[in-house]
Amino acid sequence: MKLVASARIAARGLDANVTLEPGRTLALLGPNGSGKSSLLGILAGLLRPDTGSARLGDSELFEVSPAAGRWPRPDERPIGLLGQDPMLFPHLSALDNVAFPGRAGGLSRSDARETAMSWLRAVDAKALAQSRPGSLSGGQAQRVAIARALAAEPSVLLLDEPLAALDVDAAVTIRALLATVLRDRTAILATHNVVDASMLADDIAVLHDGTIVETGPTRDVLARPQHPFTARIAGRGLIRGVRTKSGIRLPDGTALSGMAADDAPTGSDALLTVRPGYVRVEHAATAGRSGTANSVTATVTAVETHAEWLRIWAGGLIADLDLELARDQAPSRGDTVTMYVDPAGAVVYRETPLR
Amino acid sequence: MKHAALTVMALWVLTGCATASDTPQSETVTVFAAASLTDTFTQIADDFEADHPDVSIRLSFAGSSDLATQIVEGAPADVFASADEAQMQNVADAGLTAAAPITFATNVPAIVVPADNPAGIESFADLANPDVATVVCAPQVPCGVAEQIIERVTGVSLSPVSEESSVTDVLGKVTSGQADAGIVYVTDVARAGSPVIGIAIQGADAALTTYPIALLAGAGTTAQKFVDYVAGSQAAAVFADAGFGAP
Amino acid sequence: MTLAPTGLAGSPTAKRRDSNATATSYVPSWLPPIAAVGALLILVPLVAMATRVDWANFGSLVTSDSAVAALALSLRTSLAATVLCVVLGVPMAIVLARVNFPLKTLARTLVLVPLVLPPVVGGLALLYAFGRRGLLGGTLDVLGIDIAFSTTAVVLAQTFVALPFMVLTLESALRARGAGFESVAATLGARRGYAFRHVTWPLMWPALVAGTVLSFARALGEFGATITFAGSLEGVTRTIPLEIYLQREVDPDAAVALSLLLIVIALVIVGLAYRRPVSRSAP
Repeated sequence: MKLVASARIAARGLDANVTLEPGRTLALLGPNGSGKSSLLGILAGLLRPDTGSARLGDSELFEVSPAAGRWPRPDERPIGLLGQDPMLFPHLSALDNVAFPGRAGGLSRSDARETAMSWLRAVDAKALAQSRPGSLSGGQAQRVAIARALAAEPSVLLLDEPLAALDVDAAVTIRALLATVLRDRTAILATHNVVDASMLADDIAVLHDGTIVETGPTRDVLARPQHPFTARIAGRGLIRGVRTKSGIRLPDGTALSGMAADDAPTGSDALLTVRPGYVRVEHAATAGRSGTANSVTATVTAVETHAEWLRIWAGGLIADLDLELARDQAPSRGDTVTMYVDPAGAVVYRETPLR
Repeated sequence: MKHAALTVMALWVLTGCATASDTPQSETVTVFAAASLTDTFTQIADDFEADHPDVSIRLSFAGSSDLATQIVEGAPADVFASADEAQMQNVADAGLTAAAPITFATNVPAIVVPADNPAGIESFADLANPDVATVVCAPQVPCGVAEQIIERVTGVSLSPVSEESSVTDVLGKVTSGQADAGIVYVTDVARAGSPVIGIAIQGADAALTTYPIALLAGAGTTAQKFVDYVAGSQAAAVFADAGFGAP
Repeated sequence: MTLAPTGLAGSPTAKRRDSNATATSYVPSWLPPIAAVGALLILVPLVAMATRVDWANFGSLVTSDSAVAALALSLRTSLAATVLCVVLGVPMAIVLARVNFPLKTLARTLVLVPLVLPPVVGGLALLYAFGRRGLLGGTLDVLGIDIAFSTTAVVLAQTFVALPFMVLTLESALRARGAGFESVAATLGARRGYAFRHVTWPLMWPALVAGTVLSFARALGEFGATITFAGSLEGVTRTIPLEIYLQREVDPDAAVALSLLLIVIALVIVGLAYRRPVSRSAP
């Protein structure tokens, strides 16, 4: 069933719309505090917006306005919610946890347990059936929680950072499980982790300061971001300029070449994106090849230190620097550097902002 | 440092409060008296202090058994005035009386009813009516003993709805209207004032309760003077006014 | 911040008991002596009482007719009062912990007032409310209900003083846990009634046990409100504390013996209920 929703909460600065096609998973991507959880809470019925409405399939899910209000309780909505804390009922075994939705819906104990068992099998947690939640590891508990959420047979499944509390190994395993679970399911996945989005989501909506700044199929959004924030999440450099025949021209006149992704006319607003692997950085002072095409001179805004390499942000571009090769040349924040862009990795495309 | 100074100051103030505020010249006499003697003894103590300006009477009122227990357990009293001869005996048996007790007043039981007398009580026999909610003292306490004697003497047997441990509790039930009638001492009726009226019991003298007073071991001559005063004629007038009988 | 709520502190998902953790207590060395003084303040009077008991006659003193009547009455009324505390206290605690309504702070304060009222004052208040001449006295009279001097009055008095113990214990536990699990249950499709029976109630159980024990103990020891409101008649309203109060007048040995009996009963009840420290995870 298709989900169309919009909601506004003034106090939290939230003003967002989402559209979710049936059978597809939408990743709601954004940092903590951007409103992802609030939006999911509104859809689940846990948080009431100032105004808003939603339709699920042919029927109205909720409507809140100064004039009227139809605000069904969470148990009245066909929406499931899974958070980073599995919240398994501590007084029930794993099996009875998964049987809970069935029992709450009126099934007999044996019927509910039978269904629960099949769900546990589906998430590969059959062996945990008789365990108490207190004895399960984080990954195991989240597995059971997924089974339980699915056992409620929701029309839409909401996942609020489900992997955030898991250690690396468990996260990998559960992510793989979710990939299977979400395959033909209508779901929204809120996350700040781009790997979750790229592995699990068909579409992405990027939430920034309470509003959706970008939306589209996952691959498109991550490969050709429109918004600088999206580019940061995707780990890509992004520069704005005006379309030229070979690439773009920046406001200060610098020309950059890149591969055209569409046939927008020259002179139109354009963006250039490039992955760090295609960018080389040098101190501006020592740049011997100044004047060479495809470079931007800018101030370093951030440096990320890794064991043998640095990631440098400057001028909207990102470059990685191998310390083995240039230890004494490592730039720091505030330094002026020149970022050389390999045109083979740079993509130029139309700017079409949402707002 | 600041904490330590504050603590020391607090302790100093507390110990200061603990010491008697009496000036060294005046003498204190501690008197333990039964609760039913509150009004009379307060008056008598005032009169005594007026006559003896350098003496201060410290009064402590409670049930006779409580007072006796406290005295036996070592409470610092100079004089004991009891509403119950048995309790005075307890103190004497413990060897804590300095002299033989003197009877200074007597009391008899009386019926007490709420001011509007809802049950229309006129005599002790009316209390036997099962529709009347009567409250008495338990037989284990002096006023209960007195009530039992009345039942025996009049041949009227009561089924009270409650047997209280003190006269105050009986009075309380009557003044609040919970009970239609109660058996208390005739002095308690006077004390309770306008919310109640008293009804005399015919032949109440058969259940006379005597009030002994005794000087306690270790007490001084001033305390003896107080005992004499209580047994004297000036105090007798106060007792009579309150409704007590002559000793 | 995720809206999907977090679980109990010490999430059951993450921690397993580490038997190797050293038993450091992080307690400064001057604290235990002060605690010992406090403990002595409670223990010494109890021990002193035990030394005054007439052990030779203890058996006959506590099995006298009046003692047995008082004990039976005490147990009956305290049990009834405790049941009332559960029936009334659970909804009160839940509403206070989970529902927002106007003047809620005032309501919570009022509910806890019997805790700080001298019990005699509580008895007076009950008298003025339910007594023959009380606020509701007339209404009760018309309905043919006479509470005065009855065992019902005893149960009422005990419930009045014991109820705050139940409400306080339950409400604290409910607020500490938060409504997270109820929220999850709702998203799983459980209606409120189902969630109450299958989530709230089981998770409330340890606190409920603690509250029940406290209420029972308080009801058992109740004196002031009972004697003021219900009166004192053997077998009807004279509970053990009232019996002790009376025996003081005539037979101190009996009073002491019965007091010790009451202490032992209280110890047994509390000991049974608190065998394990109330753990934060549900049973």
